[in-house]
Amino acid sequence: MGEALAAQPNKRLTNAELGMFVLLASFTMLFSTLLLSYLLIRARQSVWPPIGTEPLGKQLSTLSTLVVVLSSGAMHFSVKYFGEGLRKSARHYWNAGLALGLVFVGLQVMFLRQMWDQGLRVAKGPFASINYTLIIVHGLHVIVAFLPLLWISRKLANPSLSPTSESPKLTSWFWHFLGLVWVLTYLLLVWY
Amino acid sequence: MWGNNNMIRHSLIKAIFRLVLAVGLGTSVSVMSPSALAQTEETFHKQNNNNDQVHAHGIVETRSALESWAPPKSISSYGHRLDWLFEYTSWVAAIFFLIMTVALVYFSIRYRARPGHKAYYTHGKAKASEKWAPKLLDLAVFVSLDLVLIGSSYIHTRDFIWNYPAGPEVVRVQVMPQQWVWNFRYPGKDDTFGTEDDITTINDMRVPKGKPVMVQIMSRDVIHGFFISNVRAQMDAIPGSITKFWFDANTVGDYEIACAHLCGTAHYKMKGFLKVMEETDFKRWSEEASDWSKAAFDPADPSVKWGWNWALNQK
Amino acid sequence: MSTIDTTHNNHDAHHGQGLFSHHDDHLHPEPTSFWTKYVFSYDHKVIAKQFLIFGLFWGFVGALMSVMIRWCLAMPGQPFPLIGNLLFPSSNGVIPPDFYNALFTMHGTIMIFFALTPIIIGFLGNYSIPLMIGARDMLFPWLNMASFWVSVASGALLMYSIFVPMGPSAVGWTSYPTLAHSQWSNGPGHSLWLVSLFLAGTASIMGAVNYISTIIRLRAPGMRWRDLPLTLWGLFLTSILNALFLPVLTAGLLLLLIDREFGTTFFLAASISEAGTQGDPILYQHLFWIFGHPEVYIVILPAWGLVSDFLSFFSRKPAFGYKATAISMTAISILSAVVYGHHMFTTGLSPLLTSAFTTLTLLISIPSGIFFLNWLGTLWRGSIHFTVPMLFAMGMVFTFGLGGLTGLHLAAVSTNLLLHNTYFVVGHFHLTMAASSLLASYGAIYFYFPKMYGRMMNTRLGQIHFWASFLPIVYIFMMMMVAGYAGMHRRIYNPYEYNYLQHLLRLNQYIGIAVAIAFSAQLVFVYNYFVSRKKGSVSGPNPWYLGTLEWTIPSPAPYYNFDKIPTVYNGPHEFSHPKVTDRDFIRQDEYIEGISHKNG
Repeated sequence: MGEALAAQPNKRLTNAELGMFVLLASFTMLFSTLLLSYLLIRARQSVWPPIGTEPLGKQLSTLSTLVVVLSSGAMHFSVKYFGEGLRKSARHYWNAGLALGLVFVGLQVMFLRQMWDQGLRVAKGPFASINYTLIIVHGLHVIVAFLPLLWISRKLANPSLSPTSESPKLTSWFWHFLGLVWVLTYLLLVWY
Repeated sequence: MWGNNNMIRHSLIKAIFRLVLAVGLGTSVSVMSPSALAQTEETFHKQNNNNDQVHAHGIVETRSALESWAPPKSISSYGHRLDWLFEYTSWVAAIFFLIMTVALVYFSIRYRARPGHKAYYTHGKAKASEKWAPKLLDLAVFVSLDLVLIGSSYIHTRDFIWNYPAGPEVVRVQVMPQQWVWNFRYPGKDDTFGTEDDITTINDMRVPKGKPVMVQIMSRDVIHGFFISNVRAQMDAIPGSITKFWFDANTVGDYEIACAHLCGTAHYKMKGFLKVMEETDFKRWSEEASDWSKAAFDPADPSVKWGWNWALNQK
Repeated sequence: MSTIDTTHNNHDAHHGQGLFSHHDDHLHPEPTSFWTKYVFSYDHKVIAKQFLIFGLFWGFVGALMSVMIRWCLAMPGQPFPLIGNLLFPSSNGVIPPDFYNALFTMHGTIMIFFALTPIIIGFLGNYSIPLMIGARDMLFPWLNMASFWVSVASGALLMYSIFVPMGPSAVGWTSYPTLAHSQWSNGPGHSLWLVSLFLAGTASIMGAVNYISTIIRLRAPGMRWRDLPLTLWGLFLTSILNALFLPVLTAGLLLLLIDREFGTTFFLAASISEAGTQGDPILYQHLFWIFGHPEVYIVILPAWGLVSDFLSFFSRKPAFGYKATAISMTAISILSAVVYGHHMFTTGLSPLLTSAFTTLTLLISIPSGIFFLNWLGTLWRGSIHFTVPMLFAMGMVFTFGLGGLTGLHLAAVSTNLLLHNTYFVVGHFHLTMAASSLLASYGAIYFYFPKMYGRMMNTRLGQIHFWASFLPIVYIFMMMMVAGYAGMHRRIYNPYEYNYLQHLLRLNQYIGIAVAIAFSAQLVFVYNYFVSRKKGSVSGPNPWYLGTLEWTIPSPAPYYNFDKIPTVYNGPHEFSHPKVTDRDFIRQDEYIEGISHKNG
């Protein structure tokens, strides 16, 4: 995303933040629709999980949720230090967040594997449909988000990056958003 | 038109373009010239009048030019109410449409730009009375059309759309469309669905005159639309859930059932037949058919095993 | 005149007067190569033209498909003329039923997503927004360019899907399961369709982010919300609806795609899924129409705004009830989210739901009526100039009035049960959506042509184009409503299989003739467009004598748009002011003591 055209007006959100806000509103609608569909499908079933299906494992999913929250935390500090001019700390925290993100994806893959090993196949009815879909669709967004994450990581290593650049902050917003979506999904899929 | 350079090249381009346009229009008009149309109509009538099913069911409907604009004959007890609402809405909407058209034409003429005529600057100056005219007109539309439609919808829903008949007189039918036929099932003499004496037909729905018919529908494959234009009723058939409606037919005869919801290649000819019979004839038919079904019942034949427990949650 | 300039756009206050070139630090540099000028350009004006050509091309494809559809209905069993034998050798040139289903599917898809949206939103929005608000470009130029190329990718996929084995998607543009599932629509055609629409939605969302942010942030100093031309209100509201509801479609299409490709059972019901537990085809309909209903408003809102402006511009009179119109359009945008159930009245919804949707849908006629009557109020006591854009605007008023009134029949559940899935619906939505948006689109093209190319399109040809399009269009869709009321249901290859529809052959033939005339008339437009670019009469900066900001700069517009970012002192419809006697319009950036507002 290129720099916005005008300098920042005296408003609460900068131009780029406004753009990201609108974009996040769109993504909110996307994930809301998916989660709502889950709830509607589930409402039609009298028993959930359906007879013969094991409920989703709690350990792996709780662990991955914690990891993604930590990852967001690291990003948050990174952006904070970047804003304070502490470039090196910013970079370290950013890379930590990135690494934790990778761990998250790894844990999600293990989680999916666990579902598979328990005999749950994708084409096996609504329970499988919704769980595989929500986890994988979210995971794909995370994987695509790695591209800007990596790019920012490189930029942070480059001393010519302007200290007023909004890119780290905006990218972190998207990352926080994805983390929030996972927390909600986790609560609805695993605990509800 | 565009200036004086290259007049000759221009005229040439213009001429070629006009030629193309003329050829295009000419082709369209000639392939649809009266003689071509008549010929098509003739061939097509020949093809369709050879349709055995049409002959067998004796469906004949000649219509005058004015009748062409109307739906086919209404045979249900509530059809005329829906027709009334449609016509009322159309007439009143036509009045407003006329007002709009007259306004457009009148304003175009009266307020056209001409020397000495200045427009009326309305900012801040518009009198309150001027602002009221559109609001009043809007209110008039709302009261005469919207409110009537809301009220009528409520009344119709309460009176007949969602007011299912109950009791021993009600003829119950299960309908299961599939690509691309209509399956019908009657409970037979024992008045229970899912037994040996159930009458199953393909594309052949028979009902007694004057008696309420309760229809439950579920599709076998894709969504179909159960549409009987003469009855003024329509309900989608959905795989996996049961939809329902009811009707009663007050005129003996043969009518067509259409599939109104796109369901694949032969959607356009997924035609069924509704036969409204005198009550005695219907009784006789259903008893005979029920006996025959029971006698011919083959437990190994899966094709007659469709159906569902009659869904009781009517309201 | 002193204002606190919180943007950097008015640099010359610091750097001195003159050309902007030394304070364009925020503008992309002037493109020099062919590729950066015409292909991968950041310039909103170039991107607008790209969307226009893209939309006109697909519009032509979609229109050709509609000609083929009407051919089947007018001349059943006859080989399609000229190219029939080429396309359908195995059936002697007669269009087969399978292909017919693909035709109306692709026609609907193409017209909505690849013709109307690129023109009325992609072209109109991109071209007019920065110019009307006094900005040099959109807030996010790279995102803007990306949105075009994503559209191109989407179009390429759709085009490709036409030629795959088993043919293109043939399940209706609404793509309902379970017909859209692999068991009943196998082959890659529909899956490609799903991915193509996914991309198209993405492109629109990217555009929406831009439009919303730009209108909020890049308005020139002094341009309050109430100084925005109503076109921008339309585009702004449309973008909000796009941003919020396209993702709902995306989700629905995604779930359908996963059903098709991976065997999930979101929309597959118990009786046919192996798993034995319930998916729900109706869930899809809910998801689709939660998007689908706002979508029709998305396509028409810019047209409403445009027509509101044009009626004012060419009646030389302020827009009657500007505030009420803006509020009405906003109210309709909000209401559009809660009326979608009127597309589902035949699916067995409960009486509570049907009453609710009937009532809410009918409530929309209140704000619709207000802005519609404001249109008439704008014409009233005006000084009307029948320019070609004005003809199209007035034509749109007519078609929308007619189409809108027929929406009443469909809104009420009672009459809806008669008319659902008949040609009455087809006539209704074509009048309100296709005819109205199309007429407005043409109006916009004739209107902005001088600003794009510095020349005028030929007026006489424009008039011919208008009447030869408008009159047949009204006839076609009115007659379709007649056919629908007579019982003719839709998406049928040969309605004459039904005895009670046979008498409609004549009517369908007359409609076919009108379609041929309307289709041919578009050739007049194409000719006018391409030839006038070089041969049209020179327009000058303000051929329409208007005050909105795009007419204060030269024609064609320079790539930097404005020499100096203007300061706005007046509204967009300051016509025939009694105190201004030498001309009948006031420029938005012109300060007149006693008339203009003072804040910057």
